[in-house]
Amino acid sequence: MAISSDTLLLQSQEFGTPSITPERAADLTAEFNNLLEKATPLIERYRYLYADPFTFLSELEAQAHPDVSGE
Amino acid sequence: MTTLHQQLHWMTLTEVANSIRQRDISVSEIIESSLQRIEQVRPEINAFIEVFADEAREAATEADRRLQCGSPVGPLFGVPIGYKDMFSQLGKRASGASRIMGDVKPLATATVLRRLKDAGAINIAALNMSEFAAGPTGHNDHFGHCRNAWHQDHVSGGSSSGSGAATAAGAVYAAIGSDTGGSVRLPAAFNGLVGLKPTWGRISRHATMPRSWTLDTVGPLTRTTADCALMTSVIAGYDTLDSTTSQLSVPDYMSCLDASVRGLRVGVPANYFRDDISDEINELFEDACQVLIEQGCQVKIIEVPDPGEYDAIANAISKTEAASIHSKWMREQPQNYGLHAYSRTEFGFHVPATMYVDALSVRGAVMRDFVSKVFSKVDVMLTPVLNFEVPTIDETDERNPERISSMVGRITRNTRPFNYLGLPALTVPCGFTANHLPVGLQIVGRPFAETQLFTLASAYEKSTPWKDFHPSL
Repeated sequence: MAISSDTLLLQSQEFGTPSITPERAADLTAEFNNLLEKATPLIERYRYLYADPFTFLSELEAQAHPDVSGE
Repeated sequence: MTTLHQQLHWMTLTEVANSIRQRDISVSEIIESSLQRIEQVRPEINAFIEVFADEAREAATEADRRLQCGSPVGPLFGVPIGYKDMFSQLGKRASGASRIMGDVKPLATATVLRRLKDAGAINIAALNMSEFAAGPTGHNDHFGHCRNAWHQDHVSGGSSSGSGAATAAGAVYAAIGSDTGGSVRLPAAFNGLVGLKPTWGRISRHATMPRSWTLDTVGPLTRTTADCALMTSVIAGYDTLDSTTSQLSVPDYMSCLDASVRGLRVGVPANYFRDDISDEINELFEDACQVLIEQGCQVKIIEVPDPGEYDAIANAISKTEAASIHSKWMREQPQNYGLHAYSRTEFGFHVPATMYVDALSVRGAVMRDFVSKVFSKVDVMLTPVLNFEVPTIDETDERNPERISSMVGRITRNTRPFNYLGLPALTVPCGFTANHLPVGLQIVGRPFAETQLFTLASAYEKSTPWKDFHPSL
């Protein structure tokens, strides 16, 4: 999957995000496609139906060092 | 008088706090010394946005009166400290080193500042920073670039740039910063200091200007490990005003400083963290490992899950959240942004909501996997903070937005992954490059393992001379 700079420019105009030039749209498109390439495999590897994005603190506490977790 | 002040400003935070408690020195003397030092170094390092001289003197007079009465005093009683100018205080403006925040009236005082005050510390200055905490170098188009305390042509690191430079210059005994991708650790390392990015949830962020709610942490920059442990003891812990703080107990960080590190398993990643490292930095890193081996640590090479993936996903989160925070201002007054802050935020408007939520949803599983794969084999992990020498201000004063992103990526590649993982990471000085600029060693632990980081850093610090070097300002 990848997006084009035309799509990004159009999206910017349609959604009223801060205005960008076509040149800057090309830069941001490259950055976005690079992100997709790096992040997608990680997300797909760990994707789980019941993962709750708002429980990260509990996840950390569950992995806590015994000094503080009292194990 | 000058001689006395010279002696005073290189004392450590713990030394000066003890001297005040023992009545060896008055709070007023310490405050005058600090104010004098601030005026001396201010033009050189540009680390100060506002100095609260009158308030500090009034607080010192009251503190000395309390000392004479024999009133009980807190652990930081009378000690002048500074803070990154993004922590709210009722009655004061927190600029975020921007043109925009000067109009925002604070509605609360940051819990961290309140806890420091309750411990007796005197806030003497609001410190320079990268605009809106958006940059690892300390460049600032509005307040001027902050400069490294060791060499003023070089960057101080960011975004807590003034916190690093002012503490290293002997103007304050410690400072508070924030770390979203390395913003405490980088200025600490670049200025020869100890800096802590705590476990996410260990220190309150209430009334602190956000950059990215998911990744932001607050931490101290100090001249020694003991100072860092003391500051952390004061500010860490559950806060009813910040629902993202943990209710786990806060250990006594000061009591771990003399613990033995014999047998401690120290992991050195075989992959990623030393890619393209300079010979000079690598040699200092290897020397540091050798010191730990001599201390009885078991240093072993380990493979770690690819942190490059975390770096990318952390960027997606921080920029999306920053775009949300800045959306109105960036649409209505883009002219009031500096180039670095603006260009580093605009990418966030183009990340799909589903990708952002995906990045959050997998975070717990990614962290669990990393902890299981790494901290089942070792107790702590060591990496360099930066794989090349501290760059100059000119080298990193990039005006092309496309290249700003890659420059930032090179500087934060070893620090940002731990913000995504939420793990604690401490930097401690491990030597100097040939051009006399400091180099930092990063120690990383499992969640809430700050004690182990302090123990190892303290053992290393006692075996090396680095904390006794000061910049020649």
